[in-house]
Amino acid sequence: MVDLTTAAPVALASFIASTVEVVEAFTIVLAVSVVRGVRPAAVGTAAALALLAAVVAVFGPALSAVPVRGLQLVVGILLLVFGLGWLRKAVLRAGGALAPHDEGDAFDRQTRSLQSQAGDWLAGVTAFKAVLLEGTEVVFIVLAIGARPGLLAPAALGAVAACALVLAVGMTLRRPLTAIPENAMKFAVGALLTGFGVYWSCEGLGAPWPGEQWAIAGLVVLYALAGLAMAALLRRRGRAAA
Amino acid sequence: MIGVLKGFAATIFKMFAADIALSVIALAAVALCAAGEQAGLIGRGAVPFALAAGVLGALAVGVARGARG
Repeated sequence: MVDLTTAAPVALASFIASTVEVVEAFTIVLAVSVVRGVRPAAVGTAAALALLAAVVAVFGPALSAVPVRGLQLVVGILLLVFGLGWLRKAVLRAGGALAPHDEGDAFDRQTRSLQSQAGDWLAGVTAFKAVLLEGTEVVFIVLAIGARPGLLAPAALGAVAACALVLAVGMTLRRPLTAIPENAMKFAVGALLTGFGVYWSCEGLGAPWPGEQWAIAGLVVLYALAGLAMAALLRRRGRAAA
Repeated sequence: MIGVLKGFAATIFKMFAADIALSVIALAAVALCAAGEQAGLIGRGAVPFALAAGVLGALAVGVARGARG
């Protein structure tokens, strides 16, 4: 049985990361729903969710058969590379070096594209593709941070909670969720995944961390603070150049 | 179907290789720590700190490259 201090950060990391991805998928599903009706949006979404759930159901338990040391190293490196990518992009956006992601703009573009297409079938495929592709990242996060015994359930629970929350809020508002602080969430997730990645890579190398799992919190804080400092430097450099 | 597969391939690429240099430096940091520990150049207790610092360096390089465009 996994204790709460281990399960809660995993569920929280999965929830925040999944929220960012689900919001992006929801924008496209909403566009399909508005332009072509609820049916193709619901069918495409349900088919993609079923496929993603099957992937987690098959690969999640299978990972427990892999030797722990090797699994920690591979998963740690993948998390490290993936998390660093998110953190880098969030730092560049926070520092003004990259344009922020705009859900309203994405919704408008998708709506125009769907209006020029014919047929509910293509609209359903559009919803399927959006949920499948954004969901691939969610599945990776769930499998990676849930790759230790007893952690798959809290990781999956975090992702399911994110799906339910975004769907409930989005269907109530019936518009893209532009008010969600996407870059701040990506920043937090980037720091979290990088922290998990560094911790598990070291565990996979057989190098023990002082403070054991509490070191993850220290690593997350380290990368978050470093990212904030880099973003502040970029903003200062931008102001000086202006 | 081809569109879905192309999108899937693009997603995988975006996840792990959007900035090749960042990914390579991060992998190199892990490999150097492992090799350094095997060769006796880094003590086992120092590996976590060396890797944490290497990853910080990778982030700094990735941000600097991204800011230059």
